[in-house]
Amino acid sequence: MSTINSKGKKGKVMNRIHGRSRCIWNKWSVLFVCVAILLGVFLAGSASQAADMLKVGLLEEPKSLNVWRASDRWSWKVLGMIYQPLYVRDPETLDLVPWLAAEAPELDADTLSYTVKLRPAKWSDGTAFTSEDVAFTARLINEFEIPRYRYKWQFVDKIETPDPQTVRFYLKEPKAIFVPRSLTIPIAQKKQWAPIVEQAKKTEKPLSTLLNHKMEKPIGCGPFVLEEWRSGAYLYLKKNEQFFGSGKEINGRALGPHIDGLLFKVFGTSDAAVLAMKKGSIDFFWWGVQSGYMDDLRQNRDIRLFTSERSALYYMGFNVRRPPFNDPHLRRAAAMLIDEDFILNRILQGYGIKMHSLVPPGNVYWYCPDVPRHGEGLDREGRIKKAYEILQKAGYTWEVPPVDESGDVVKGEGIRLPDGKSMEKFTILTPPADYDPHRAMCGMMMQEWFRMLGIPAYSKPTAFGSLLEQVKVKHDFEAFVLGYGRLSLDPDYLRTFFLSRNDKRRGWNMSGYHNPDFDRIADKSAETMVRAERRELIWEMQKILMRDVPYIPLYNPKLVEAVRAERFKGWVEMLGGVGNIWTFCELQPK
Amino acid sequence: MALLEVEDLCIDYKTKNGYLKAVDGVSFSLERGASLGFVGESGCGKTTIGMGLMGMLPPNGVVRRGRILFEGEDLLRVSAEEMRRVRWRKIAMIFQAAMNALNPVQRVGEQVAEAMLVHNPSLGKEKALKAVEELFELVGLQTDRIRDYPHQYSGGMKQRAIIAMSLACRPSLIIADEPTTALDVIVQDQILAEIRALQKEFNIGIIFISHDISIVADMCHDIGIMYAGQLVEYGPREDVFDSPAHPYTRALLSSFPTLTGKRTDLVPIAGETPDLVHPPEGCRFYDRCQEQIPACREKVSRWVAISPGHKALCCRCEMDGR
Amino acid sequence: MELRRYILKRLVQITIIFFVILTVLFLLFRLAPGDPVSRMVDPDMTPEDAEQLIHQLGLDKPLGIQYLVYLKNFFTGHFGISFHYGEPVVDVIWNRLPNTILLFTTSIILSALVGIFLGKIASWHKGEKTDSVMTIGALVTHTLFLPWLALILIWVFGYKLGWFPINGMISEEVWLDPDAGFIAKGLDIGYHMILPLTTLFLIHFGAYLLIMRSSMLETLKEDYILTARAKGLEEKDIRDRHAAPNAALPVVTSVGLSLAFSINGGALTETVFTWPGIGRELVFSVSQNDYPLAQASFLLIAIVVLISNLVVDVLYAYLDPRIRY
Repeated sequence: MSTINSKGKKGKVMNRIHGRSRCIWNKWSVLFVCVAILLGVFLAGSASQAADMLKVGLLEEPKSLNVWRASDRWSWKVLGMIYQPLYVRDPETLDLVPWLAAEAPELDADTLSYTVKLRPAKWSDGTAFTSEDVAFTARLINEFEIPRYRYKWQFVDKIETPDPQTVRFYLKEPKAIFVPRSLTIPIAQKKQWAPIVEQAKKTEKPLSTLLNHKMEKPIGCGPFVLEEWRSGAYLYLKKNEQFFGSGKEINGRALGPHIDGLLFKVFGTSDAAVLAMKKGSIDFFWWGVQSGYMDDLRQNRDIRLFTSERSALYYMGFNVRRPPFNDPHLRRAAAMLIDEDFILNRILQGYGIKMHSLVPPGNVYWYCPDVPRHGEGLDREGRIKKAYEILQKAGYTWEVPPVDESGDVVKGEGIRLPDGKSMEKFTILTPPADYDPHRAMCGMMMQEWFRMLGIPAYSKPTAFGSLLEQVKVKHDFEAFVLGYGRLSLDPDYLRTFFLSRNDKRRGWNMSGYHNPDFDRIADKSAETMVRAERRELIWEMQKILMRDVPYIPLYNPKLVEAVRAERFKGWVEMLGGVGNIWTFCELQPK
Repeated sequence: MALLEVEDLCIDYKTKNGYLKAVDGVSFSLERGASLGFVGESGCGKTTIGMGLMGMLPPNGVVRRGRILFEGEDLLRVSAEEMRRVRWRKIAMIFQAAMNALNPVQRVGEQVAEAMLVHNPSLGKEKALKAVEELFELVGLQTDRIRDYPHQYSGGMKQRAIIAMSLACRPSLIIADEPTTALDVIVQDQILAEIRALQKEFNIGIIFISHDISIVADMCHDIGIMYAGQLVEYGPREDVFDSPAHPYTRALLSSFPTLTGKRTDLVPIAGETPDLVHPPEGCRFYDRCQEQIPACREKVSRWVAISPGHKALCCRCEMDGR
Repeated sequence: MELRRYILKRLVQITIIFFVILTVLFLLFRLAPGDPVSRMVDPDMTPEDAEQLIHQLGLDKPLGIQYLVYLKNFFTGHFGISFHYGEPVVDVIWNRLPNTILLFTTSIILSALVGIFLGKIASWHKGEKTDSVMTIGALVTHTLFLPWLALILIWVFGYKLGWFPINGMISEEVWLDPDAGFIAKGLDIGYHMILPLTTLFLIHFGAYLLIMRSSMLETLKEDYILTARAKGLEEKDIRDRHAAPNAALPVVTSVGLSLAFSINGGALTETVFTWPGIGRELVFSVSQNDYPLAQASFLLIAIVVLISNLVVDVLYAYLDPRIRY
């Protein structure tokens, strides 16, 4: 005898819950199995297409393709394929070579003007690239005072376009950065931007309007052109048929692009990207590979690793505005204590370069090789003794000196400043370990080294945002560890970082370093247009800085990048990695 | 043939300490249309008998021995599925109203109809609901309350609904377990009158289970007094009340107001019931008995016929020759 | 009628709570350390640029004015412009929301249904092997560390076995193919959804299973179960028609309440699987001090939680006739 059929209308409520729940569950499971099977079959069938498309893994999605707003590096990895500058760097010498320009800029010292001849080129929409576009870009920057570009152009007085292939810039004052910095900004198309600019000017906040403009289809002169941006998933760039370098030889290099397109895929985490790399779903992961993955990747025959130097600076900074680090002796003693070899070999596992100066050694032209090298060649004990000596001479006293009467190193205690006050506890702010384990570890080590000398240091990993706020905005700190991963090749940043004028809220002189001599030399370097002369000054600045040590350079991490070896050849190694414009122009399918 | 004949029924509960003898050697019989009442303190095994009859013992309950002859068939030997079909169709149950005996998320009428449809699916929902209407009228409930939920009913109404439900399949036996507990006296009287009337009308055998001796006295032809898993006195109502033989029955009667409503001294029975995992060899009431003699403790109690149909399980009674 | 009044009353309450949340959110982000401009650690940006940006973002105004602007923006349905995307926050969220809804609601519904179903089975076999396996399984999966589970799934099924994609929501092979139709694209999304969905499902179903199981065990002790059995119902019907509907009531509430807690797991899952949803955006916007985006994301979550609580209450009233408002 059967029971009441469960589909009967009785017990409406329970049928509603139960009858349906079971039925949905069944449907779901069936649906899921179907989906899995269908897709397996379906994808297996469609996997082979677009063989000459280079797939590039990105960690994050570009935030904006508006060239004036984009500030994150992911946006620039894409924009760099589209918007092109007048000059680019040679991969070997790092010297500037003409790109959209036809030849080197011509300086007329009397009128303080530079004349640039342009290469015949076309925008990706087929219209001609002319001097009007260059002038438009520069004027737009000055008119809107576009952050990040403004300071590179505000000293340009006037721009002339005698003919479509020539543009002349008149400078208000001599500026060393004009060629290396101002002439390396990406050029925007007048035709595309002029209407947007006109619109923006009519609004209450023209700059905001311009920066917030959503650029869907950027038009550039570069080797690739944006075809489709599928938000959250990928960006597809097609080969630009109009690219000015196609089939030509520029700077002795035969340019393509020889590939049909670029596909940028977003991965979010390194883990996922590395797995995708191993699986072969991407050809190149455009980001440094963490040391944890290296052994695994090195064993993989299909994967090739490139190790490059970077234009980067990781350093420890002091607040020289107040005790205890207002005393250069203490800073020099600190520099003495820091064991760069240990940091390099133990913390970075060898993937780094020692920094003696604040300019990375890879930046060969500007790097000054004979700056004071604190404690070089000394072992740990020797460093402590030397630091003790410096401080003792400067008038510091201890309850238990770190070096006892028989000359042995012991743990120092109760350090007093030359004025007799005991040194107060201070913190070394570092980024948190999940943001950068190396810097956090450096902070820990330095805390220990300081303590050997009886200096009460405390390393404190701090959320990145609040670290910057304390250091850059509030100036409320004693010491910190920070770094720049993308330092410009032009050394003007030395001036920016230590000029007295820049010691202000949000200013770049975060240490609060004041030195009239330095200011004078620095300002002079900024207006010295003869490269060799300028180098003398830059070297002098490096020497001063390494003597006064407002910053102690710690290391310059090497960049390890992974590519799939079997599909493409022609990767161009360069300072900053293989992901450079030359690679994308020269890469060929195997 | 008697409607129900129970012989030497023994039900154990498996516990951590061993088997608890919840019902031990109980025998009784019930004629069609007659009523039998079981009285005893809580934990004496009377509810277990009810559940045993329904074949609804909890998972740790086992029938050790005995026979339950219902309409000539031993219910202890039928399969679970057959037993399920006996339930409600043949033997229905009236639960206590204070209990949550009705499903709170189902309409009352549907719950009553469900009882019919389970055993007669071909009836169809329409007809079942029609039948529910008749049942509602029968037990004095308004038919427009069929679509209400249990929480919309008063205690008395719920009880009537449960009675209506028990009649749904016209069973020949109804087990009423504390049917009126927690109802006020007036409603209780109405309900009991209703049950009596329906019993007469449909010629149903009823087993009343109650701790309230006055209700049983009011309702039943025969009465069984239970103590510690055993039936200790059994007989026609008049005999048991007029001449209680077992000391426990007497103690029980004196601990209740008299049937006439005149209050005499209520004498609570001192002491505790024995451990049923290891029941004493002799009389289980020994420790609490006012009239104990050493033999009660040593000898296994035997049934003593007091008068025809009236018997007691008491060593003392045997001695006295009462 | 009563229900309508109740809903109205609740809506008023929700509005008040919402304003409190609105204000707390505002203060939370302004008072937290770190400012959005300092993050742009690019020596190319001068202090003047920074000040200019701060002005453009309206962050140089007094807090009170900022709050008023914030309220005004909220009422005009304009949540401001994301600092990083430079797009209206509404657009950014609108873009991501469907992806999150797809993943999140599917996972909640799936895990609730399966949890309820398995909890019912487990309680019915209490003390037996089926029950132990299910209960222990539920406990284990429920207490797993979500990112770990996600990575294991990725590693095993995405990489080692290669059955499913490692991350993302769509694959370019399908979407760049001009011949691929609507169905192929839909299937592609479904295919990508399997691993994240499994992750969320495994993390969540256990809780529902355990709640359902204990609720069932409570319900099975109820007298109406006895009645149902006495009526001669088959065990299956007792379980499904009498016990489960009553036992499922607390689960319904817990689904509503757990929504707020599962958002955390949703954000982590989206992050690990690069699922382009609100959760990933939330994590990003908070870490980048993108106030407008973070505020709007949190507001959205608050609204979802508030509304879902209301829905749960109403649903409860619908499922349990004893509850009347």
